[in-house]
Amino acid sequence: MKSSDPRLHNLSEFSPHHLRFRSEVREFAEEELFDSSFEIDREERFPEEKIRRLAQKGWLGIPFPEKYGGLGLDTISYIIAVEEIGRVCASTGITLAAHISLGCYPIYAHGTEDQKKKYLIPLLKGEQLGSFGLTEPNAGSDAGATETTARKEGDFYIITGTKRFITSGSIAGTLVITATEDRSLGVHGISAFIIDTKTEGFKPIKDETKLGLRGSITSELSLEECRIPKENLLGRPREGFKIFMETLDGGRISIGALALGIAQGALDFLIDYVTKSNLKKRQWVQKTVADLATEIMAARHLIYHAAKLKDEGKRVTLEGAAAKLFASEVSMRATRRAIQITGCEGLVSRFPLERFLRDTKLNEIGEGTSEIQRIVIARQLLGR
Amino acid sequence: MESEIGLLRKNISRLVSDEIKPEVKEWEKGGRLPSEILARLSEIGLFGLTIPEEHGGIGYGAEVLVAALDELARGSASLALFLLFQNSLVGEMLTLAKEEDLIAALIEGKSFGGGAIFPEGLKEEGGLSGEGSFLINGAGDFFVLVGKEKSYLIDTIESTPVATLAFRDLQISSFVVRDVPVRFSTSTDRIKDAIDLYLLGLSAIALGIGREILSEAKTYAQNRKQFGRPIIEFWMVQDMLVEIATTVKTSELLVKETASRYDKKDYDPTDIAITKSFVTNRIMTAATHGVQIFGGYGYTTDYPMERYFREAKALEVMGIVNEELRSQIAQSL
Ligand SMILES: Cc1cc2nc3c(=O)[nH]c(=O)nc-3n(C[C@H](O)[C@H](O)[C@H](O)COP(=O)(O)OP(=O)(O)OC[C@H]3O[C@@H](n4cnc5c(N)ncnc54)[C@H](O)[C@@H]3O)c2cc1C
Repeated sequence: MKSSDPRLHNLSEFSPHHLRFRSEVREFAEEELFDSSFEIDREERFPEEKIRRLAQKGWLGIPFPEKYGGLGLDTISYIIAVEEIGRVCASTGITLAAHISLGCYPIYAHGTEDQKKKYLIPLLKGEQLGSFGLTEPNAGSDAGATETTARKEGDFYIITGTKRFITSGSIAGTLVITATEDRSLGVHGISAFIIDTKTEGFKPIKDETKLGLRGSITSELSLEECRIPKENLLGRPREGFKIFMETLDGGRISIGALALGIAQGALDFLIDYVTKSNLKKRQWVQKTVADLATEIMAARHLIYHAAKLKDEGKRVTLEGAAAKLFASEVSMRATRRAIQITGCEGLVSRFPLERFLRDTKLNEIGEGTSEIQRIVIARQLLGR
Repeated sequence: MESEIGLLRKNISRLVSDEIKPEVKEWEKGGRLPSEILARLSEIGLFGLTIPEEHGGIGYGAEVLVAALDELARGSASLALFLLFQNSLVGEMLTLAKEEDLIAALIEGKSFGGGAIFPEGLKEEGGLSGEGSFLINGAGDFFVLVGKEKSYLIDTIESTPVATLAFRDLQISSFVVRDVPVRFSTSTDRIKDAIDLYLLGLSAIALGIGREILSEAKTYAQNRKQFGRPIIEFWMVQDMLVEIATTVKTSELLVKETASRYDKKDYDPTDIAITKSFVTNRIMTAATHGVQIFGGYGYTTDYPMERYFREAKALEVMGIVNEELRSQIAQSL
């Protein structure tokens, strides 16, 4: 694994605490994830043993209070972890990001004490993975078009529908999903629910074979007349849309961090390659390295700025979207250009670059495509 | 010529829709191009396309070859690349070496070459020695190694298949040659035309991929509905489609014009460099948009966009990497 110039990583947002945590995660990632990052991509295998290691370290609960089994650190620390893990193994990175930002966060932010005790604690302790089911075959960018229905029957909700592209969906213990109680109300008819995946009627249909992130699981899920207790309603009835919008605001910072980590991994690899192969005096190489470094530094500022605002309790709709949009595009450019310098060698899977390229394309799609980020940003500034 | 090209395109196009498109995913999974499809290409004369008539080929030039490659790449860029390699570097080396038996076997689809372009550090001291990381068709019956100074035809090579970003059915391999007898060698300068043809062919393959991206992305955008309407109605989706269409149009014109100048021997070396770097670079951008238009679906192997994305990226690097071509262009300006 290649080293990384510390000057690229120093931000005023970081306390000595953050820096120590960064070293700890980096060391772990380089030692324990590097070799397997190639394997799991090639074999298309979910790295269960690695996720268990993250759990042992308490990292499946980084930004949540200790009283729920979390590590009690802040959002910045969590984002550091996603970035550093993403720099080595993006499949592990997205599994972590989806678990924390999408699976755990909505329960932490909107759950009742009872829900937190019952569902959040096992997730934060790493006994189970959490997952978030928003996307459906006909509701992707238009997540408000949810077709999954929830019908109240006495003390239960009966939930029926199909979810698509759900990270860790087929292996998760707990799933947060959206379903509509009344389609005629549009987004105002959507509620959020916590589902125990042992519930009868819940069934994984298939896991996708993908361009990249091949060590992460992306599932199609079927819910057929799933009877869940009414206590599993998350937040207030018909406020599900608000809950997931807010969840995505934060989640986008982590996707940005994943993109940033991949870009950094590509740059670190490139610097090492260029130095060893005596290419460093070539101006086209210098230009690429300089552009990548500059864009990566800029992306890092955007991401940790958004993370800091989140730690201050502010809404980060604008900043999260901008950070994710920029970082994911930077990461695509960085991985694409890095391969140009290594030539055909970079097309071979012995080098991580071609995997980085395949992995990072997802960051322009997941948790809102780049087009949707632009719409979000424009709406923040222009109004609806 | 136009009518011959039209006929050839029609034949290949039929092959693409009937026999290639339904199978191509399996080829990549299996890691090889099936011999049946190579036999089919041979039947319609494709392996002798650019081999001079006096050696038993058809003796067509670049204009016909790029049309064939562009059409074939719509089904399988790997197959097109295989064909290009035989029709440029392999054909040229065999012809110069007057290897009439091998030429006949190539045209009949019985024996094919593998090879590598500009591997570092080929050394000829008695036999040939060297190694490289990107050998095309590692299962070839003989090999062409194009070095910076000299190029070689040899019979054997130690090759190990490697996992690659794209063209996983082309048996790309790393290789070692240790003191191997040279069957034929020539100065690389002498096969410059064949290298140019190879680079031009890479652009034609990129173009074929681009045309496929355009037609599939358009259809998808017309059919996929979000927010109550087809996504093609959204300006940002249109913008991506326009960019893809612009790329395909300009690439088409450029490839055709450069091929025609190549055939008239009325071209500047920069024409080739400009064509290869421009077309493959723009097609990679188009492929990125292609995946994007398909959203999450584009990221899965259920749709071919992810393959086009991988192939387009590889073409940006293969042959001579675009940045290096730009240096060449600058020098002759
Ligand atoms: C690996 C992976 C992991 C994922 N994990 C999860 C998960 O854990 N949970 C979850 O709920 N979802 C998840 N998703 C789904 C992801 O969030 C969606 O794929 C994404 O939101 C896009 O939706 P879609 O795929 O339906 O594309 P579409 O919405 O169909 O978009 C297709 C194209 O149209 C464009 N478009 C759509 N609407 C507009 C508009 N109004 N204006 C301009 N352009 C527009 C899009 O930008 C895109 O280019 C995951 C997806 C992948 C691939």
